[in-house]
Amino acid sequence: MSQDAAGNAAGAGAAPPPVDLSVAIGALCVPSPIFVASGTFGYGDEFADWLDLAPLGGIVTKTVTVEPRVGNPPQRTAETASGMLNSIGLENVGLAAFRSRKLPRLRELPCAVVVSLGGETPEELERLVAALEEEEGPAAYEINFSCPNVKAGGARYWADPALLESTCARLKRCARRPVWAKLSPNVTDPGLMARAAEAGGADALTLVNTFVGTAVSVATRSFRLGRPTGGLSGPAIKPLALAQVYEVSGAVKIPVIGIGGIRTADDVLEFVLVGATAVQVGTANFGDPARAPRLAGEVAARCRELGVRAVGDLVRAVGTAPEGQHAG
Amino acid sequence: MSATPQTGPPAAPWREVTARLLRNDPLSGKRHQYAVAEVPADFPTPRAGQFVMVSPEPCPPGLLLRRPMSVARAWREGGRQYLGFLYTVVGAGTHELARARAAWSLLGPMGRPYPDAAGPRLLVAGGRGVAPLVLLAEECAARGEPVIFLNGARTAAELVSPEEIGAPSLAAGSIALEATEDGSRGRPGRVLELLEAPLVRNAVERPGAAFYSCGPHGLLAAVGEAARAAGAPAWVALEAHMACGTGICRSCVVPRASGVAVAAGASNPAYVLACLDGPVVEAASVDWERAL
Repeated sequence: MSQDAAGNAAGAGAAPPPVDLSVAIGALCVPSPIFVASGTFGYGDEFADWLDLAPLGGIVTKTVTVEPRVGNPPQRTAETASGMLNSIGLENVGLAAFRSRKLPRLRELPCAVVVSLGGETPEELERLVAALEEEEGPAAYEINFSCPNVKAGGARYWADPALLESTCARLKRCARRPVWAKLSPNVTDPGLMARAAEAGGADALTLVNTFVGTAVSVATRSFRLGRPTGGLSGPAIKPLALAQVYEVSGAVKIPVIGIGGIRTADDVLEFVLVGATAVQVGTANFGDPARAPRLAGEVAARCRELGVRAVGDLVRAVGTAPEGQHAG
Repeated sequence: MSATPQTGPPAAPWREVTARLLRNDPLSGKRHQYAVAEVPADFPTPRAGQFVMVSPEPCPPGLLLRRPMSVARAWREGGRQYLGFLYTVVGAGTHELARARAAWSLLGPMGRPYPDAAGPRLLVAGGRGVAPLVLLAEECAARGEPVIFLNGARTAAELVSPEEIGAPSLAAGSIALEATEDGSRGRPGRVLELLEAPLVRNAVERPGAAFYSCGPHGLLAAVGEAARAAGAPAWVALEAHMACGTGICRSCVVPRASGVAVAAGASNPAYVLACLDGPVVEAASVDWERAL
């Protein structure tokens, strides 16, 4: 044990330079790459009074639709091995209540607020963007092109590259703020969908939304969810999500925001290494709402350990493990 | 001293604490588990009907979500605070909770408790739904208020009385009756048939009487019906699948009765959210046909 070496290292030099966690997602610059994912943190105001949200890059709100939605019938969630199925069905307060009741509080949050928007048609999305363009507060829009739990305007409807491209183009024409496209993983060629959104002018891509899945009760011979299928999230999907982020970030030039089972600092860095500029924490928020705000400090500490000065240096810096050496 | 003002968010409406387990094992002869945990003395004492979100500590890597659990006992002794939990192993989450030997992580207390009543309190328990009613009876006993405690289950193995989990005696003047569907303990039959006992019937008819219930939704619906017939309110604690307990996940929805005014601040006109609107709600606010 070399007390001297350790003591010298700490004593001789000044404190190590802080790790630079800031990232630029297109025009949006944020001090941390960690966001909370849509639908897993409310509108953002619910926890604001008792959690310090400043360490977050930002909050992505619950998806807002033109009209209020009451959501799907129960049972709406079921835990599976290392995962969680949900069939919420875009329950939300609707545009008018979001503007009058939610936005005023969101403007006071100490982090960026990205408003998630859902629509059954391109026209509806355009209406949502146009309405919010009149408001102060949102830092960007994340368009939910990928909800697996609604019929109209769900992932299947938007899984058409031409429609995705033309809709992104249409929204870009009326938005002065960045437009992110949140994509479904339930497609054969994620790169094709990603290029379509990029061609339409999307400023960034968010992926993945949940994978279509289900669970069955043998005792009652019925689906465990109120609808036959739901969306699977949590650590169970992390390897699938990492692969999609790697594929998509190689297919487009715009930034990719990675989601899928993130709980730890290493989870964050894995997504960054395969090509994510930023990440979103989702399911982990349910068990521990303080998890995401705490992650920023943990990522910084992990970078320090690894000798990484800026998290941005790791974006798509993954390589194949050297021969004969197993990755950690 | 620095003049820097105190910063940071104000106190949370609920807290996350490590609860050291003093016991966590099957109740002798029962289908239920009973756990006693020590929580920090400054943890807000849960009121009857409130719940906490629980996970084993340390948490096994495959388990993601906490489980909601109502509080059956809450007491202080020698400056320490203890909580008691009556639960049944029904799935992977409760299986892991039952395996925990050292501690649980608790987030809470959450939800709306049972409200007060001006007149006689009729507590109607079904199976492990007895848990929050034990705490309600204990709160009433501490104030010297008698209750009528009707405790039912399918079998003796599913029926747990307050004394079997160490609760203090009911206040003087209380009535405690038991029923099992298979007749293995107490009066044979369903718990609501105990309403026919003369002393109970008299109490129901007195002004200010109120029903308090927890158990299967079929029982809650029947309690709501009995209360309506008696012109009394029925406060029932809902059970629903929850992912978070904080109002965020929107999982724990129970169909709302149509034609009943939606309370100001309720978050969904079609559904009662068990975690935020409840778990204790008036039985009349639920559409029981769709909730069963």
